[in-house]
Parts: sequence; structure tokens; C-alpha cells
Amino acid sequence: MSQGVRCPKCPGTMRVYNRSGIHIDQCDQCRGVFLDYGELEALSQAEQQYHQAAPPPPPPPPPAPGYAAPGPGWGVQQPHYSGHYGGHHKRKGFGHFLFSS
Amino acid sequence: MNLLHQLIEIGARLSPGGTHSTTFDRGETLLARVGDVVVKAHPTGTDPAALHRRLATTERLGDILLPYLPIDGAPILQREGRLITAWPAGTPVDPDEPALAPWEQAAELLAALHRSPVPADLPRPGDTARVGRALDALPDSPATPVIRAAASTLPDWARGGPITAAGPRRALVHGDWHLGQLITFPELGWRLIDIDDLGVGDPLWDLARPAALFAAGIHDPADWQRFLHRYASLNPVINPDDPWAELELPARALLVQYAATAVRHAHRELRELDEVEVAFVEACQRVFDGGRDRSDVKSA
Repeated sequence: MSQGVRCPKCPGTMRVYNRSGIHIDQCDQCRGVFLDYGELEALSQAEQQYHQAAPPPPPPPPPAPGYAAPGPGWGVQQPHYSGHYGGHHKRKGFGHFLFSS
Repeated sequence: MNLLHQLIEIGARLSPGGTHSTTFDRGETLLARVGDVVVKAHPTGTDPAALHRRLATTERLGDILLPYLPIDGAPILQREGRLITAWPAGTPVDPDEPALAPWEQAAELLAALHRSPVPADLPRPGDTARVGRALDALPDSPATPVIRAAASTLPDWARGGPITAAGPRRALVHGDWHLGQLITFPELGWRLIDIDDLGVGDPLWDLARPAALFAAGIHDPADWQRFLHRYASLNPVINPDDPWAELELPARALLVQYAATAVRHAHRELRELDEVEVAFVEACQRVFDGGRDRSDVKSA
């Protein structure tokens, strides 16, 4: 549609807006929208791409005190820090011999 | 009269009416508690002059280090060829209650020790020598090749070899600092004990024992961070947000010592390694896996 076309619903005039490569005809009075052939499909496609694209990763949260403490290369690996098997050893005590090195 | 009876007899004199309650046989060291006194036979071969100087340091820094108790007016007795000292008995950290461990107070005491005037007359601390002794005493076991492989990634000086150059940091250090070296008294609060390895050296080696235990998965990461940040706030010789560039080497050496000591204990007690001890051996394996390509291997 070109500029100057009358709105089919009211006495207003259709204006052309370009949104991300898609022409949208919108009435300057009732705000009604007219889509040319294929523009609805183009919008659907754009919507799909929006949802499929990986959202930008949120900034990593600040580490909870201690639980993302870095270590040396030979240290127990971070995913284990929550105390699962193979990680930080949740046990009743420290290990007694540690107290008498 | 054997050595233990000698210790009990000395304890009974210092703590009249006290009874012998506990004996700690730690291999190199023998201790007997009698009443509110602990009597200690130091390892064979302890240098009496060095021990005298270390004892004098406990008097000078009585707010940090537990001062000794004179025996018959003397700091040291000799019995059965061993040097004997006596100490007030306090309450240690409970090894079964990690959540109650006094990490902040531990950091404060250690920082205070490291910030105290550097004495001119103390020898080197016993830290690196202990690594070497633990490796010398490592018995044959399934874990032994892994521990030796991890030890081979260490420079010679870090496993008991001669130290030819003074490091960048020089402080009065404990030399065998860990949570078992704190005891508390109702009127005094916490003090550091066990001054056998006290000396002038690198304070980071005192931090490296808890660092090694954290890295091996023994100490809770939150506890380690709490300790490290508190320490660094009082003695900024280490960046608590990036400590591993400085701590990795001493922590690796002390990991090797812990693993070797664990295997020796298990071997002596005719048992398998427990969960904590296995964690040390696993960490030694990771050291070796990561160390095979490292360019600094064996460089001292």
C-alpha cells in the first residue's frame, strides 16, 4: 500500500512504517494495521527466529561466598563443590590425622 | 622408668593431684596429659639450642603462642635422651565438628604471628624439611608410585633439599600450622601450640596447609575463603582473590606430605586408606597428570 490510502475502517489515512524490513500500513487515527501479501508470514518467521536464537547469556552471578572458590589445576573440580560424590567430602569430621601431621 | 612414666611423673609434679588422662603417641613425639598440664618429649635429634630459642619466643609472644611451663625452673629437661617441655592443657578444635572450627580466630592468630618482629636468632622453619621426612618414610603401597610421581614435580628445595636463596617474603612462621595447632582457654581465648618447627621463612607455607586441604576437597570452600580473606585483611602478603599463583607450589608440596603421611599411618595401622586419605592420593594423581607437560618441573 502506498501513502495516502484511506483506512478501510475509519476516515483516517494509512501510513507506512518499516519495522525490521517489513512494511506495516497503520492507520494514523484508529491505529488499525494492514499487512501486504507475505508480511504476516515474514512476521511469523521473524518471531520464530527470535525464540530460536540463544538469548544473550546473562552475566554470571557473583559467586556465593566460597562456593566458586578457584583452586589450583589439581584441585577438586568446581562442579563437585556442592559436596557430591568425588567432590568436597562432606563428612562428620576433618579426618583425625590432619590434626597431628 | 620408661619415657612415658617420666612424663607422667613430671606432669604430676606440675599439676598436683592431677591424674594421667591421655597419652598421645605421634611417632616422633610423645605427650602425656596429667591434670591440666601436658608434658612433651620432643623428637629424637631436636637441637636444644634451637628449642630454647623457640621457647623464648613463646614467652615474648604470649598473646599468640602458648607460653611453656618451666619444669623445676628450667624450660627444658632431659630424660631418656629426649628433650622434655611442659605446657598448659587447653581445649583443641573438635575434629568431629568442622562447622565449629574457629577459622577467623585462626586467621587472626596466624596473621599476628607473621606480622610480629622477625627474630634474628631463629633457624629456618621446619616446613620443607617435613615434606622431605614424609617422603623418606613413605612405605611401599599401591598409592606410593602416584605420590612419588607428584613429588617429582616439586623443586628439590620444596621437598627438604637445601634452600640456596632467600625468598621474597621473610617472617616469623609456625612451620606446621593447621587447625590442630589451636587450643583455647576459658580466660585467654585461642593460642597457637607446637613450636617445634617455628622459624624465619615464607609465611605462605603456613597458609598452604589449609590451601592444600581445600584443594584436595577436605576443607569447605566457604571456610577456606573466610579464612583467607580474614588473613589477607590483616596481613596483605597474598591477594585473596587470586592466591594460587603464590600458593600452588607450597600447597602441592604439602599435599604430597599429607598423602605420604596418610599412607604411612594406614600402613602402620594395617588398614586401607580412608576417605580423606584417598582424596590426597587422587589429588596427587591430578598433580602428576597436569605436571607431565609443565615446564617448571624440577626447576628450582
